[in-house]
Amino acid sequence: MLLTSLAAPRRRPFAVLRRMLSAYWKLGEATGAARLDSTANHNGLTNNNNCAQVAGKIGFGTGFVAANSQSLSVASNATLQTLSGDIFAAGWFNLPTGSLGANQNLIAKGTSLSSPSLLDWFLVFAAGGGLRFGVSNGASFLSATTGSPTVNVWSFGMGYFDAALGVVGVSLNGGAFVTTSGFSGTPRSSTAPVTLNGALGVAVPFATNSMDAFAVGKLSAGTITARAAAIRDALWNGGNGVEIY
Amino acid sequence: MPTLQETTDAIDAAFAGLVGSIQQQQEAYRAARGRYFQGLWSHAAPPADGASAVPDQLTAHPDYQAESWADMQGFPATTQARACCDQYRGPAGEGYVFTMQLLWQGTLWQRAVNFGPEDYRDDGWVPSA
Repeated sequence: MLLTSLAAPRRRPFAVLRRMLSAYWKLGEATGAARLDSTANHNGLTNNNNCAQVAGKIGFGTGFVAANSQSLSVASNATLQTLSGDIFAAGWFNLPTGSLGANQNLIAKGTSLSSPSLLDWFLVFAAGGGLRFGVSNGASFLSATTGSPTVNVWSFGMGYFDAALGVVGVSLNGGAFVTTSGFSGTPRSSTAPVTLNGALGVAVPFATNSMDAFAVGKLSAGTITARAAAIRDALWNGGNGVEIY
Repeated sequence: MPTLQETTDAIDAAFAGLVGSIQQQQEAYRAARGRYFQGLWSHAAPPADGASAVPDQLTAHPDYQAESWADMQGFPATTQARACCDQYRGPAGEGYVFTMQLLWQGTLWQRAVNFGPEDYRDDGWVPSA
């Protein structure tokens, strides 16, 4: 029923899901160009160092080369800040052979992948494998981690934070959410930028990979847990992916 | 041995002396190439504890760009920090960020100077987390 409600009515497919979004990036624009935000929030991504247009999960995506220090970024604003609500991030990615040995940022809000005082939330691959989503209270992280993806194929990941329950969850390729509970304190909600691949801060590694169709959304506190599976299933779309704009 | 403050002051002074040349060369590069120049890190490792080091990566370049620091004029023979220059194109326009890094007693410090519409990229000397 929830999946149906996210996609209905047919005349306005994904209308419910769209209302949850802070940003939605198709990521298929030309090499070197900015990446447009399909929502009305004007969170278009700046192209740092000539990120390329590559074959994507659906149409075109964005390719990153670590040696070129390539990333996409957008300055912070209230639509991207956790504030006191729930948040989720989801998208498609394709990792090359040999890429799973180090921390890799898929999407994060912050300027570090290691310091909770510099990072609000993140969806990353942890060194040693595993897709990880987490949030910071400024002093420590709470995160949840799935198994490792397969390289050289498109994979789908989604993470969420339920501010009322103090729970984070992460799902890989439409699988059940792995959750961790016990968040305490207030979610860090800084003015740090949101970055796809690498980050603008000190000593954050860049990665070589491709990404497509990324979404960030916010909901009222305590509502994401009941909706997370429906959001995941709508975007995963049975492994086919979908562009909701 | 100089202090960290003395070292960053000296780096800032040297950079201030180069800003005009950097901007002039970047605008010429953009006029010719349609975008700003990207320079990779000038040194493989950041200079440490105020010591000056010879840049050993001046011929390195991103794979989409033929030019390197060696094609630009005025890069000092030795520096107390390494430097890179990232170029960007965003919804508000184009720009570039000149970033300097050094090691001080094992901690990485960095300063970023933005030239372009994305002012939030400016950052003073801050330590690595």
